[in-house]
Amino acid sequence: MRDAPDAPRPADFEWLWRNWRPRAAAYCRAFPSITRETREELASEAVLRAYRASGRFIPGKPFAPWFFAIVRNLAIDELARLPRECPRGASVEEAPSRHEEAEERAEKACEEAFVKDFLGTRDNLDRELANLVYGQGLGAGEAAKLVGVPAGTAKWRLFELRAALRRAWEREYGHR
Amino acid sequence: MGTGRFDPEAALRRHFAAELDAERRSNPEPALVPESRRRHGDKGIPRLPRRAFKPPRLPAEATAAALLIFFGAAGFWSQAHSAPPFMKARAIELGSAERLALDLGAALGEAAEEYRDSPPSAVDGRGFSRFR
Repeated sequence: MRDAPDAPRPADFEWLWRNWRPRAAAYCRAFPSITRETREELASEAVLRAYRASGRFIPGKPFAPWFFAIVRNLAIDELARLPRECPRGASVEEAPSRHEEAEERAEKACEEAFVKDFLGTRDNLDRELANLVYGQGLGAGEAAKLVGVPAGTAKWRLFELRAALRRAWEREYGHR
Repeated sequence: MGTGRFDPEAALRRHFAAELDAERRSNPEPALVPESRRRHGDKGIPRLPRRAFKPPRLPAEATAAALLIFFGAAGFWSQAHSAPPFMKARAIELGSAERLALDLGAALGEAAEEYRDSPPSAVDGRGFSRFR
């Protein structure tokens, strides 16, 4: 999931809204203390800011890191306003399952719930990196730059995250 | 659980894709103005970038230069030509008005001095303080 298939058009509000507001909201899920309503507000605000700052976007450069930097700044500002205490992964929401065959749907729901619970036990940096890389399609280097850690650290953390997820899964369901 | 070996990366991708899907379905219609901004009276953002055309403002220097030229020309003209009768009449009228205003101002000044120097009881029976 890299940039939207068409060329970035940050000066086109409709394009920004349709393609990037949901992605901003999905990225904000990496911050567990941000509520659903705030997440939508942040996503809308991010789109608005990106639109207003569209003149500063350099054509030819990847749009996603530029946009997610805006979202991240907004999210961090929001977190600074919140009380310190936030239960880890407490508000990571369950994604509804799709209408598919019952067995497949049940498996998927089980896997989603498992991954959700697993991510809830990880720290914020892991969750944010995973969201950016596996959810928003950024490269590990781009995600590392965005969150302010060395690229090697991001890669190592993602590796550890995958390994821990596999271990947790195999503990729960055996070696399959 | 499942038929193949568990792929954590694929599971993570599916998880985040489901989250994104949920976000897409949660608010499909663009509300062009975020609620927080609407509450504060923001009129919103245009669907298309709209750069309002602003006519160039007359610079202050040009205005000052125009005024100087006008008064310079008027002064030169008034020295070179005697003023026509209607202007003289108007000047006399203005002079009278000026004298009248001066007389009125002087009368007001005297009244104010009297008010200031008068005893409190004479100024205000209701106990308001006097101005200083």
